[in-house]
Amino acid sequence: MNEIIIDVLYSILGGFILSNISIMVFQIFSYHPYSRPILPLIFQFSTVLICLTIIIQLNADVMDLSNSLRFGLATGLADLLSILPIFYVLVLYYLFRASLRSLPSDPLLALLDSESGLN
Amino acid sequence: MIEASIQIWLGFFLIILGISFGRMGPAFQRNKYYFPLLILGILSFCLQINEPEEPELLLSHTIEGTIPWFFTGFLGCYLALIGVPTYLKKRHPQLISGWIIILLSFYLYFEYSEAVSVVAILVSLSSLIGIVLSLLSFSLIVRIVENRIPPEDPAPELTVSEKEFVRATISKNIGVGEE
Repeated sequence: MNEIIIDVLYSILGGFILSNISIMVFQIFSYHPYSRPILPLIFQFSTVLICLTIIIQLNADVMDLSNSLRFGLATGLADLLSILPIFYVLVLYYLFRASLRSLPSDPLLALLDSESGLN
Repeated sequence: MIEASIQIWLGFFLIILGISFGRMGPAFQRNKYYFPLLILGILSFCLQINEPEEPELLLSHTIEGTIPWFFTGFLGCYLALIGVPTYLKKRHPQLISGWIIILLSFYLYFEYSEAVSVVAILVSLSSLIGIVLSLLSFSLIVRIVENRIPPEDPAPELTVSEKEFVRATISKNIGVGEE
């Protein structure tokens, strides 16, 4: 198969595994009496297991599940860090717009200012 | 070295753990150890003494290229956000210093990050597909679980002491009865 397609597939699987593992850890450690994490955890565990098996099938260097998990998480994290500058530029665009904006005149705030001035 | 790989994953899970503890349950019942755990996780994730082995080697290089501009940019954005006139008047010292630090983060990005091709960026962007798929499947399964729960009975009326507590809280917040 084409190398780029394989890389894209690794990226998708990596992102999927990274996101699912993060949500699974979040659900376990933020447990409270109103949360019902059992079914989502079983579902996510199964889907992650399927992804790890796909990686083992695709990558000859990855032999077992633990290595597959390391590979998937490392790929997902590295990809996420690589595209971070794109999101950074987006954030800066909105920050720039906010920096140029002037505070809208609020009659209630003006009233508060005038009252505090009187006091 | 395997120790370096363990350090990276320990840091990663401590970061997730810190975020989880910081967002758990009602606001007044959150775990107070979330911040130390988060800091410990970030330090363990970012400060590597030895070079890890594959498959963490590429991740390690990406982290090394990201740290300088990311933390500088974070500080710059933080300062600029303090300076922008969202709720208060514009604070020029924070705003200007924030933007100077943001410009410095761009210099650090071009200085320390390796040049990446458009194809590499497109390949990395495809990880978003995996993230979106996982979030969609998670939302779907949570929706199924929540729909299976029968609706609860209407809440009983507040007791006299509860009404008094609510009245006292609201009075305190709007500043009535303090004088």
